[in-house]
Amino acid sequence: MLTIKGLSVSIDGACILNALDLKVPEGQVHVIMGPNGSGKSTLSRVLMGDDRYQVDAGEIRYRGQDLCAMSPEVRAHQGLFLGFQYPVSIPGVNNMTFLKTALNAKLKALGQPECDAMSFMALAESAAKTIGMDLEFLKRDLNSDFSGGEKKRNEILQMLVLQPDLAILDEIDSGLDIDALQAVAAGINALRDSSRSLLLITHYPRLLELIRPNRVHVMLSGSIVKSGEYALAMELESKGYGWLEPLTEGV
Amino acid sequence: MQHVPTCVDQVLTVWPDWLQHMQQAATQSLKSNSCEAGLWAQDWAAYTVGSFHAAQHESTPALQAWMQSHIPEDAYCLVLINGVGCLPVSRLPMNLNHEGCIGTLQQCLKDPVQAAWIQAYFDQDNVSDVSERMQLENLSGLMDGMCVCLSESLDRPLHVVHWVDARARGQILCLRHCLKMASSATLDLTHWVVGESAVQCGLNVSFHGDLGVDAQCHMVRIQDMPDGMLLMASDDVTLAKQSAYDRFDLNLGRGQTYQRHQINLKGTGSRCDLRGVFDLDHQQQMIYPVRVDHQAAHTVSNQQFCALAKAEAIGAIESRVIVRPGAVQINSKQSMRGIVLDTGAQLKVRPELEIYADEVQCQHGASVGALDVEALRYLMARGISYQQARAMLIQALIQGVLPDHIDPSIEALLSQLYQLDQNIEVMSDA
Ligand SMILES: Nc1ncnc2c1ncn2[C@@H]1O[C@H](COP(=O)(O)OP(=O)(O)O)[C@@H](O)[C@H]1O
Ligand SMILES: [Mg+2]
Repeated sequence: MLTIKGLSVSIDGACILNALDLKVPEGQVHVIMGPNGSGKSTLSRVLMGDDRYQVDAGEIRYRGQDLCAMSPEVRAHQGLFLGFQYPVSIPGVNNMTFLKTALNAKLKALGQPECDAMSFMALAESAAKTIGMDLEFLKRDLNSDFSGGEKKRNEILQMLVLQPDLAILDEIDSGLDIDALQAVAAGINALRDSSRSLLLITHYPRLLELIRPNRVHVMLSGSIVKSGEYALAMELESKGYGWLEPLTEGV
Repeated sequence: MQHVPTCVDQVLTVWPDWLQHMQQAATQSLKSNSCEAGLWAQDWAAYTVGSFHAAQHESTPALQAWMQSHIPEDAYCLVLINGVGCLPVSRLPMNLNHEGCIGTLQQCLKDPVQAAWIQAYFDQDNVSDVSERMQLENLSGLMDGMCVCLSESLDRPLHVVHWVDARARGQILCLRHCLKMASSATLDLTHWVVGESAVQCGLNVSFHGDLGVDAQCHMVRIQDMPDGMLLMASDDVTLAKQSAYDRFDLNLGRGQTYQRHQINLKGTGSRCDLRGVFDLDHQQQMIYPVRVDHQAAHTVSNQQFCALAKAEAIGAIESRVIVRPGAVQINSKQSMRGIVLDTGAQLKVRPELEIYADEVQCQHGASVGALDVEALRYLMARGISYQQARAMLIQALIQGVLPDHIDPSIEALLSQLYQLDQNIEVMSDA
């Protein structure tokens, strides 16, 4: 599904990602953990095509295609989804109108018939139900005056409606209470199937207990320095990241 | 916040000269060298003062077609073609009671009762004699206008249309509008300033409004002039006790605009609500000075403007709220938003407050900037194209300043504005 080789990324001359390698096969859920500032969000934004970052070296293949050659909206049409760490509020843009516009843009790009108001509502309703979200949120302005947890739920709602093939969720579990965490996990598990992949960025094993990822990667100073099974997440929880520092040398 | 461009200040200093220039045009034709640093010096230099023939004010198929698609069947309508009231295309109430009138200035002046208050308005402009003023102005363009004197509420909306077409080329059309509303009268007025095709001419329009006790005037001015036209509009509205003036200006066209507002909140508890959406493109320039004068206690003013500037357009919105001594417990809000969509465009918004009374509540907010890039990125990450994302954000900003109730025909014009935005080029910094 996703193959990243030797990816180096900089912004204003400052190197943030450094010869990063990562492979996420179809149908798997992978996790990236790492200290603040290690470059996790940068990776997620580069994958989504954020034009602030410069790709200095390496390549990103998404289903065999060169991802860097695609514009952000084309990436979305092709099944990529980024759940933002800090979703922006857009007062004046209705949440439902936005989501319907996004869905129809994708359907149109794929040559499929657009979704009418009725079937869209059905889709949105079932997605909202999965994550226990009140439909009232659809009537409000996009993320406007939403609490942190409500914004995160809204990201998951969008993910469920857009049905991406590869979803990258950046700290989707930060700032969530236990109920919200359960809801978000339910949303993620609902999307999970043999043809879709997920890349979760998180600090906490709590979400992972509910999701049970296939693989855990540790990012330090812009590189993946260690990968392992689910147990690695537990190890990090008890030991922190310091013991991995020596691995960054020479990268 | 964007750096305040000095060139806007230059424009502001040139505009008063232009105003004066317009007035001088009444007595002499424009000479190419008479307009210092005039923005349209070359255009205006070519102007000669011609005399108009009746045929220049006759209705045309283009106007008829425009009317059909813009003016509701059941509305009253007064049409001024190239500056002159045109009866064949007017639909006016036949039986206003004897104290009231709706008509053109030329018509109403024939009635001694109406002529008296109209004269009073002109006195405010320091013109001793209406006919003298008209003679002066007749030298350049023609002079007519709308006269509405309401002794009671008008039962239907009134549309006043200024239609300008190629026949007005090279003219400066002077129009004087007078509105007088008796106590408790209500009026729903839509004023169109529209043109058929690119034509170089000027419109010098003044509007005097006098709202009686408890009167309510809801007014929309839609300026949709083609390139080459210059609109100088000066509006003075005075409000008596508990009266209300709601005003929405929609500036869609490509003409150059100077629009001045002077709102006198003279009666206790009177209130005004001023809104504006301005779409500036190409080399368009707009100067929009507003003065809201709280002269009495418990008066309320609200202003909300949103300007978009593209290409090399320049816009300046300046609003001054004055709170006179004794005007206690007033409430005033000013909100202005300027969106610069291209690097060559410039906007300036400036709210000002002058307070000489106690217990006042004043709020103001003003900002100029580009569209929110983070918001654009977010929308695009969801598969929405740059053009559509931009249109969505612009629409959101505009929606924020619209009045609560908006006519479907204006809604349609606005949606055309968002669609226009989809024709622009793809983001340049990609
Ligand atoms: N737009 C940006 N401009 C400047 N520096 C940035 C930008 N984005 C990220 N960085 C820097 O890159 C590093 C990695 O940031 P980020 O990817 O947000 O880390 P993480 O998500 O792992 O906490 C940080 O040092 C951060 O300051
Ligand atoms: Mg982060």
